[in-house]
Amino acid sequence: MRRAVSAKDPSRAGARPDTEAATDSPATDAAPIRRAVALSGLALGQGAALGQGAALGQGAALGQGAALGQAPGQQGADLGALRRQAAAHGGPTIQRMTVGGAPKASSVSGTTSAKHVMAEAGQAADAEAGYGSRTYVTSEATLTAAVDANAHNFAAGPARSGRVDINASVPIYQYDKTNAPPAGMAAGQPVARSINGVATNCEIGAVKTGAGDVSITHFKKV
Amino acid sequence: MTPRAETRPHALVDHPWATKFLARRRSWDWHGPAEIDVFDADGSAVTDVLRDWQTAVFHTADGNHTLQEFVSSMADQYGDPAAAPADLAQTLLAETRALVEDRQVVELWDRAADLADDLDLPRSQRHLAGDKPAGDQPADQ
Repeated sequence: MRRAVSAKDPSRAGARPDTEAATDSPATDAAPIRRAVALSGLALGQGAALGQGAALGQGAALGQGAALGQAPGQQGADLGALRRQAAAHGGPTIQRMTVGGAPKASSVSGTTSAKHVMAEAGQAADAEAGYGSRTYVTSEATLTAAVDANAHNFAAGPARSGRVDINASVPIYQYDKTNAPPAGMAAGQPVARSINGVATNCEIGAVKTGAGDVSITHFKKV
Repeated sequence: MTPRAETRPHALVDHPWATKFLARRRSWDWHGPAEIDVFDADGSAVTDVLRDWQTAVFHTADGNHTLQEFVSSMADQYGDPAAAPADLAQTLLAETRALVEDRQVVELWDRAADLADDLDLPRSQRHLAGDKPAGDQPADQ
């Protein structure tokens, strides 16, 4: 059962599809930039202050180097490992979601990370190379901090849970295609940044996996 | 003072599908910058190549966006919604109907949920899914 838990900023704005991007889009000269960003390094995680006054540690997380506009195979397996390694070094955090009453830190699913987590430097090129609008955060810690601040308790057990959605105001970056649809939505069409790191009300969904982990599988600007 | 009536030029007013969530039923991959290959149920052959608005519908159908949200977002793409075609909502409804009823590659859900990996990302990007477990579709869908 999907549950909605309101937190932080309850204001709601118009929705826009969060989108993946084209894979076999035409090669662009932005690809080397994306790859350089992907391989180069650490982007500071988003620090966030909990309402209770406890400051979340800043996490250093690799920018999501898996630019979805890249050709298949262009992203090496090592990059994914680096991303997970960086996310695992996100610093101290407050963990309030629980599984069977035991505190459990959340993590971002590979799919959600691939769609929405990328260092700022690579976002514009990635968005232009992809199809439609894109919404990013710069660190997985932005999402895990919001989820970890929630007190939902998942029942223990081997079954995968239903998704629990929370609303939280998090800093996002949004890029929209500038030419009229449908042709203007295509991969390679120009984009403009419409949200530049502004805290925006978003819906973040997490599930308890069969392995007992709390996995963030959904992110959407609302 | 008389309040102004809300103007929603691109609303699917009272349409039963307006609040339904669009969800893909078939695996897919990119065919081109704005074209999508849709595979059959076994994933062994391409049955449809989607273009133009149908690409936009199918791409949006991630289980988390309603038809009305999709229509509104497309209207926003014109910058000023007044610049969008007057028949935009009806056009998108017709394209959605074609994918739901004729091609049967999109379905409508009553509530939001995650797609399974094989429906979520395009085939050539599934390696990015990494640790995501199986899909989260509601049992009653």
